[in-house]
Amino acid sequence: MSNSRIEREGNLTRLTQELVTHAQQLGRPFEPSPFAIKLSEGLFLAHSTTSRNFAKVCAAQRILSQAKFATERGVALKNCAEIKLGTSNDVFFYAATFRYPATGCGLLFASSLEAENKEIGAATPFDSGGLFGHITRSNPEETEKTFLDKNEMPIPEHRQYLSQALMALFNDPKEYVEGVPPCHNSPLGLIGKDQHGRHWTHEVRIPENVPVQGSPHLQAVFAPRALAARNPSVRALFRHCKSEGVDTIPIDTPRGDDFEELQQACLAYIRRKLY
Amino acid sequence: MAIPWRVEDLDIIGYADALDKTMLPSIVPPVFRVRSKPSPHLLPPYFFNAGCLYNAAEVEAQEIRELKNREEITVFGESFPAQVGFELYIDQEFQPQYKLREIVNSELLAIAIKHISEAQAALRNGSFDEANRLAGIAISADDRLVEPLVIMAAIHRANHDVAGEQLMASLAPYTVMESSFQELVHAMSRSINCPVAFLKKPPSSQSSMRLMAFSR
Repeated sequence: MSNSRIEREGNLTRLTQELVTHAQQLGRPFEPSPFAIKLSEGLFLAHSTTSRNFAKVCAAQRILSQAKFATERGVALKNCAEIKLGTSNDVFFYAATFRYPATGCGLLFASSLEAENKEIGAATPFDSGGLFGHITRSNPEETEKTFLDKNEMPIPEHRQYLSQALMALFNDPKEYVEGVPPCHNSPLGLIGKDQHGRHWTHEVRIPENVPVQGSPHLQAVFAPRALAARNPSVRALFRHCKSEGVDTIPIDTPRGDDFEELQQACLAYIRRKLY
Repeated sequence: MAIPWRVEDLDIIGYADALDKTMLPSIVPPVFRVRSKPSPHLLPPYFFNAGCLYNAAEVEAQEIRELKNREEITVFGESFPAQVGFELYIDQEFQPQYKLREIVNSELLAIAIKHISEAQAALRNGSFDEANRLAGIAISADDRLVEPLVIMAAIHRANHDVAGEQLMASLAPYTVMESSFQELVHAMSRSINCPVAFLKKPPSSQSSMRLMAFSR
């Protein structure tokens, strides 16, 4: 992280004031409702990946940063978004459902993971990787790195901002979870190029690695049932979760007309737990 | 919702997963490219309706290279045209098979049934590792079948591994009741070539259920 926690706290104060002013100009509420507070405080941290990488996470019993993962594969990260932003040593989450494309397995962590990492973690009210090719900014002259640094917020305090954004920008706080785009753009002036919410979904980053097996913050594990039954590492994680009371969600291999199985399963889970 | 893409205007350049040999055969979501231009490429989550692809994530060619380098997608040596009503699966030799859905379902079901049969034979001979391997291939081929999980559960039961057996029951499709699963495991366990004392009693006496009854 290039910002200190004090700098991130300063960003949060400024961003909150900008959001309040923006809401007032729009004639929108900004005081969070009890449900918006409950939702923003309770939203899980979602990390999703492919079958092979998920099996590696299970074997390592932790999620590694992109840089560490690349080192383990014997390759170097070059010219990618994380290198340009200085975030390659971070583990990425959405404070939302699984929204990262092209993934079929996922892990949900309780929001308490943020409190444990509050000195070293950071959040942004957008997907930082999306700044390259997925999000249009009002000032394209500014570098992506500068924009990121200006808008990093502390964890878990970014959830206070989220609770206000749920009121000010969305018709209903649930729409943030459901993946319905906000009815008003945020004061950051970001425009998304597709409908997957990268310009308004909160991203949380924690440096180096995040333990999985044995973590008191692990909330639920999602994987295709074939992978959970057949792969020894995935099966071991499922077994561990069952013994610890962590939820395990086997999903059908997507097929036919529908390739949204992971996202739909996650959404159904969050509706059961948080609505 | 964004404008849908006509399937007949798309090429398939790979699939949105990275798989090991032990994850095959498996249906996979294609990575599409719009045929007439270099970008965008289209990734899941998405769905098909009336010959169109909806809700896909759009990425540029540079990001496709990054995703490939991170083993988040797999790119084929050559692209091929997408077709309405077709399904993509990767066979046990890592070769893409792109055929009508009915044919794919039929081929994968045949692979699953063959390996279930071989796994049952291995189980009867007490070759648990081989039975587990074969059942694994069967469930990769068609994870809607309950038989591979029953075989794996029977192996756990023979090894006195209660937690392992319970895990297999929990992985069964939601259409299978736990008591029915237990009966299937008991029926399977009775065929194993090992001392009867190793085997548990079933929860009820109905054990004549046909294994394939739960196939969709």
